[in-house]
Amino acid sequence: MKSRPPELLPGEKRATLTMIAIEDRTGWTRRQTITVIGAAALMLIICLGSGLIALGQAGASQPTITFASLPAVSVADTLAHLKSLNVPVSNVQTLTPPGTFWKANAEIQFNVQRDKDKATFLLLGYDTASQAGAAAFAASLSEKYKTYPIRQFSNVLLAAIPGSPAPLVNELNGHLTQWLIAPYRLYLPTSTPHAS
Amino acid sequence: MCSDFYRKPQRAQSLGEYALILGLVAIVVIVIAFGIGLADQRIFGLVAGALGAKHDTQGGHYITIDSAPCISVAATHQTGLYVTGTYGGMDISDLTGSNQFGLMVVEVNGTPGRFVYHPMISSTAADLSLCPRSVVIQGKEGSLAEAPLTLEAR
Repeated sequence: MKSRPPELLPGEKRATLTMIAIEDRTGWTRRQTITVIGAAALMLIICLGSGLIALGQAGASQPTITFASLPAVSVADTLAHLKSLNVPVSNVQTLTPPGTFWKANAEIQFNVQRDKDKATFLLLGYDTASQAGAAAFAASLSEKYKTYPIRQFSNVLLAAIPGSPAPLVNELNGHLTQWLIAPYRLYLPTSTPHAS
Repeated sequence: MCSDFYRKPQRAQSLGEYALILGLVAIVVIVIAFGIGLADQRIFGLVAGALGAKHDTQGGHYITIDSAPCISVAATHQTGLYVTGTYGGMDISDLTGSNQFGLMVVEVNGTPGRFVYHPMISSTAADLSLCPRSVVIQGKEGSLAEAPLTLEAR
């Protein structure tokens, strides 16, 4: 007894007819046709997926802006700010003229003593932040100054004499970051309090 | 023949095997494309910076270049960069600095959130003509800041 072929649903009938048409035109076997269609479908999915990921990244890409320039300050104002935060500053010496190595427009040396910790700092002022950066770079190449921890804050450099206790160095770095940088870069962590 | 006797029966690839091969190829292509994308972005940033453009990045990941001098130091016959700035929303290890001569890691500048990128351009000559034109600081997820370099002779 001859069995009846199963009834095809409309969608299945259309798909089967499409495959038969492809087989007739190309001369491919059923297996080859399924393989090619499957591969094409996979490629399409991968391309679409990659495209959607790329579009998603483009949509989420950060808008580009230019942040405000950091303010230029004088070394005198910087020292006054540290004093206003009750940093125990002593033995302040204004070096006139400033040392020839640093090529700064102003240079102040001072001590900070808290309990048993005592540190000596150099505060160097420049006309521009680029000049301050150039001095920091030159110091990193100098036999005499390459061991100095030097930090740049806009147009000012803060150099600690080697051996200065790290808590005091970090404290002053934190204060100057909070004063000269954090107000203009709101994403920075605010570990030190604002001047009151 | 003897060689026919020992020959194993050949079998064509199934659809599953084709899919596996295609999937692996796609993964390799996506990884390569991501790397090329970052490199392209860096090169476009360097070109834009060389043309005088400066921009920073914000929106979850932040990078800002505050000063970008190229310095020649006559006393030591050396030339290099000293680029400083700030970053947020990522780790310092996610950042790389680059100029037309190559890539280099970026270091913390004293406190977290502040970076310095100071590659040596020449360790034998103090010559500002050796300076690259621009600098790019790039996060590994694709955020980027670029700036033209200023020249400073000491």
